[in-house]
Amino acid sequence: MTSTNSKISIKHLHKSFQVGGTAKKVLSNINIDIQSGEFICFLGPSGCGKSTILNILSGLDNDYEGDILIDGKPLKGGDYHMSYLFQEPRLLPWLTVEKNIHFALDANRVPSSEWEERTERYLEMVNLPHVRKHYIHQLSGGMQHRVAIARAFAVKPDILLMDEPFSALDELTARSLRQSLLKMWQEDRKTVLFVTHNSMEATYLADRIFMMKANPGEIEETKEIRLERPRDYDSEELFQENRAVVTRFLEIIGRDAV
Amino acid sequence: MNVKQDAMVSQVITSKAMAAPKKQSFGWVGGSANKLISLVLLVAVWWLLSLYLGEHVLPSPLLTVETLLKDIQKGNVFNHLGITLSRVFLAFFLTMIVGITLGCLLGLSKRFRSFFSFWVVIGISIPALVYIVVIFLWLGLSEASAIIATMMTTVFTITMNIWEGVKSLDKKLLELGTVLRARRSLVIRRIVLPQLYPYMMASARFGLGLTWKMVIFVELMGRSNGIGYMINYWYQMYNMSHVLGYAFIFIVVMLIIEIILNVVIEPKLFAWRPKKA
Repeated sequence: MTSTNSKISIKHLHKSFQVGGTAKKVLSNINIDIQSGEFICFLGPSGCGKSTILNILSGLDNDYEGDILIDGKPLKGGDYHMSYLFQEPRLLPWLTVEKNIHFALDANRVPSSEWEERTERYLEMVNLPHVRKHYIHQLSGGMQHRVAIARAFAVKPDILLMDEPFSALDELTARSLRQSLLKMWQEDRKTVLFVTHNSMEATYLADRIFMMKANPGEIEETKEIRLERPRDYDSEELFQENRAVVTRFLEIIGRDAV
Repeated sequence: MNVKQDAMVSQVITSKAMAAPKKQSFGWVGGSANKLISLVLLVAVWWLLSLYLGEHVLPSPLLTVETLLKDIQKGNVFNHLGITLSRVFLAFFLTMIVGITLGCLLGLSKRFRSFFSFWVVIGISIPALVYIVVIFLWLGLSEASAIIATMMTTVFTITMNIWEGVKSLDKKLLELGTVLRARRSLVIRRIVLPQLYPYMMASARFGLGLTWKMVIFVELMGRSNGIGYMINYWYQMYNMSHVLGYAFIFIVVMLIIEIILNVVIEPKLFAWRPKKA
């Protein structure tokens, strides 16, 4: 795995910010290489800086030290498409569902001749073909998340960043959304970086899990999940695998947290 | 973090928009019986007062309308009304353009804010009469002075209101624009402006209301035509029925314009909002 072939290569990433005059270290020496098409989960307690990594990659946070390469080229000014799925759906309430997706396509400079077809296709994929003309407040929380997922995929991103996108939902809705997500991912194999504090979710979704600890945020261990896909959320193997993940994870955060 | 929070995000936006200071619409449409009765009552009070005070002090509604109709027949009223309305709209549009621009600059540019926010505070606190007198003294009794004087009395309040709107822009939605790498014009059109519309709408209502009152005042001080001038003219003749007649027609016209603003334009802008029972 040399960094030149990697989709994303992060080297010596450090970040700190000022709290009352003293520097607080948020991320300390993060080094990771992610291959194209990989599904990566960052698993860590709150405050470990896992969301910060996504913010840096997405360009929301430009204040860091270290090198980040996408396809071997520096992060800044690179020519790639990224989507970011936030904790909340972040849809524009003054636009209809389809206009929300058009907005993302427009922002990504997708020619307008393709908008209709893509909107239809991706709303179909999240099982919401009938809400195109709805305003956002007319949808349930779960439906809003589905629209957000459709929007994220519709721009055909090279990289998909997801920051605990399902943590605000009830477990049943979250499960069905995870399933939809994996189905869509398997169709076009985007590189996904998924942040969560739910070990079961991480085990179900990921090819590799980066386990993090807080103060300062560091990656303590990388765990490969070799389960076959499609995975069954209720299967014995997944359960066993999750137990191993939890045990290891508790060791990591237990050292200084619990 | 839970489902409620998502709902809250959209709710916050909505309620924020609602919280924008705005004159309550009195529900001029629908014409329920109560409103009709209240209107009749108002005219009745006017009429009773005129009986008590005498027609010379307070002309009755009937006399006022009669005088107005006579003035209209003579052919002067619509001329003056037209002149005043064109002043109102010119001053209003310029005020809105300048106010929105300044409000956005104050909200978005730290440097602009650090230099000029104090000017706006001072600008608001200067009395309208001072603006009018000073500008007429400096620039002469011209049409331009009238417009500028009217603008000065209103523009800083509009600026403040828009500034408030820019301050309360939803940062999370702006982040969405950044992440999607939306170009600036698209962010402004789809993310910034929709959040400012309620503030602009409130400013427009307030601005129009204040502008037309100020234009009358400015006309009285320094123009030789328009409703304000005519009111002053009849005032100096001590003729109340003409004074009221001119005031009456103008108030009616401005009310109609405000109602159109409320009933036609606003619902179109805010069609996306949840309907409240």
